[in-house]
Amino acid sequence: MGYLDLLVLGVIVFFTYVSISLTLNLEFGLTGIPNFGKVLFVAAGGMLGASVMYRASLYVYGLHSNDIFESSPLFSERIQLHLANDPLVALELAIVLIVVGGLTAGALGYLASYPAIRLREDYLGMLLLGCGVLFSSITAFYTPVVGGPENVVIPNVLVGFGSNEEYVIMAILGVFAAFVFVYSERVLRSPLGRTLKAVRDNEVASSALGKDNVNVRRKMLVIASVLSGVAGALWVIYWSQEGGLVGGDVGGTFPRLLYTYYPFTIVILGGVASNIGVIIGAVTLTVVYVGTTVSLPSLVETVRIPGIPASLLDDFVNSLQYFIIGGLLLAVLLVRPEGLIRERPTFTMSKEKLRKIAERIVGKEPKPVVPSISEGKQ
Amino acid sequence: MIDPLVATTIEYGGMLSIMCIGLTVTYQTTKVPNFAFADYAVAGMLSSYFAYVLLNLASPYFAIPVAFLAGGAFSVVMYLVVMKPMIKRGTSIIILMVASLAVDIFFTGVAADIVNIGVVPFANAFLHHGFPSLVYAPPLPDFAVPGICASPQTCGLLIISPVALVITTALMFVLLTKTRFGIAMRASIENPSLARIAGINVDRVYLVSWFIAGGLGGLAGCLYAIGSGYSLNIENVLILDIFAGSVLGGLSSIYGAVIGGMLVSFGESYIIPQLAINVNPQLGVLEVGGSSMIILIITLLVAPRGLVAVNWKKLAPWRR
Repeated sequence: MGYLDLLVLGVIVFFTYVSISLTLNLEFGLTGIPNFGKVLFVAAGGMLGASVMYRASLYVYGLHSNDIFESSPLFSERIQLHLANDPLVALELAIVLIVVGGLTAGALGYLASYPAIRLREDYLGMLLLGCGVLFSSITAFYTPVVGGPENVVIPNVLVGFGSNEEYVIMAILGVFAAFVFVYSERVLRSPLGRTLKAVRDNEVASSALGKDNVNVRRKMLVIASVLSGVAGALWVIYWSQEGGLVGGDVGGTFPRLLYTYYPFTIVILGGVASNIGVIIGAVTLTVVYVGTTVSLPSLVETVRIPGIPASLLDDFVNSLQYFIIGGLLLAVLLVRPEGLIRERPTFTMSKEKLRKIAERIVGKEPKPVVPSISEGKQ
Repeated sequence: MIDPLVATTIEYGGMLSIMCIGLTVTYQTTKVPNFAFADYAVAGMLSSYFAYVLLNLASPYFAIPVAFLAGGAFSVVMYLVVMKPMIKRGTSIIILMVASLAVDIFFTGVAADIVNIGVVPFANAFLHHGFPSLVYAPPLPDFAVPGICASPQTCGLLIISPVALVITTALMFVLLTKTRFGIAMRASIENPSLARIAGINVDRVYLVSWFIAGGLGGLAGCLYAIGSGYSLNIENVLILDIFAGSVLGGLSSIYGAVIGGMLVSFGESYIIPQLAINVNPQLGVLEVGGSSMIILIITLLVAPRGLVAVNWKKLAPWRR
């Protein structure tokens, strides 16, 4: 694998992790919902979106079969031949995939929020974990979703771009990650952001101030679910472009480790409720993940140590990631529990504006007021 | 002759209930759902493999003390290094959950790397013992009991597993109600500050509780190695069953944990295979975590405080 390919792969993984972890930061960092079932919303967006998109493409090109998923390699190949000359249809299919992915994930978020939000936080975490595992189990046996145990080839909607398709999906993922970042920053600095922090830090106080805790949490869970569903759908586009199979095989396309535990690692590594921190965490995790799963194994292929079989060496390199990521997470939790970037009070207005307002109120000597706000010592 | 599905239910139920007791004890003391609990069982599994081969044991059941110590030691180290400093700092429950998750991820790497790469080739090369690759290790040889179940060679567990559960429960009962330590433990769980005022060393009580809990995990891991063998990342599946059983039991009483573990085992090892045979073979996939998650979700929605907290008298219509 050349360096350029490696870089492109790294950037794609990075963008995906940034968008998923930012949504987790909205839920967990800002609102205090321990979403141990993050994989549910990402996988729901990806798999259900892919399922609907595949059916739509079959409908458009009039393909029929008794078992549409069994004949998916053949069908997808045929559909891709059409799509190469039909950019409009390809665009429509991509939109179907993304919209359906986002909406189904949002609907699931709403459903999950209904009973869950009233539980105590550790029970809530376990319930969401259960929902996530149950979803992967269901997709693994229930064939109408994405073919059940057999994996499915989803038509590649980017086929019209030829050899540039990897860069196109990279750009799309980048735009989406930037959108989620800007949105999260806006939420963080808005009155809503402060409401969320109030709900997280002190439920009693926030409800005494007239905030509807349950409603606030549900809103955030739904919004974050929609965003992570879209991220999952975009990942499926990338995955189908790579020729990867989408499937419900337990932990197949969307394993729990990668889509629940690693985003948690990113959020905690970077610092809870800090969007910049999420980006730093995502960079770290991407380097470790891509390094241990892609670049190290290709290095190791050439190395042969006498007495140790090659398969063992591969296993060793592949499981290095658990070692490093688990160790990093533990180190951060023990040594610097607030994460790399400490949480600070956020301001709705810029510091300049605040100073001007203070000047107007206090007069020309704003010093006693401003430093205590701008340094955030409360 | 016992139906093989019933036999599996009893075998798995025994060890699962022991693990649920352990998780309940750790939850009681620190109030953290411990994601790393299944790793104690894995430590027990691996150590029983090594003990069985290296010590030339006659039966793998003699490895139970080693497994108990391994699980307990792991649990104590985790408590001292990770949990205690974080609890002292006043860390929230969710962050503590993530910390246990971090231990889980870390130990997955340790189990995979150190054991597979460091120990197995070394042992094969220098000690001339035939270690299997521990990505998957076949079950340890069980002793034969003729006449009870379908395959008499591997029937010992059917007797040992429930017996181990009964002994564990009885010992826990005696420990909690009849000994000074048990009373101190219950006091520290009920009200740590008051216990401290009464002169109980709460830290030490918690430490010993974690050792016992981890040891129970290791013990169950040894039984699991005899019953099903070890496969890489088995802890990811085991932890779901342990959570489900403990939550069903209510996370507050060891008797609840026993009932919960048995019911989860019944759902997973009996109902799901029956459904797979009679209704749809694809339903068999639910065995891997799915069925226990259904139990977990229903419990949390209907009776979040578990079976022990349900007021059964009120539910019975004939008792007015």
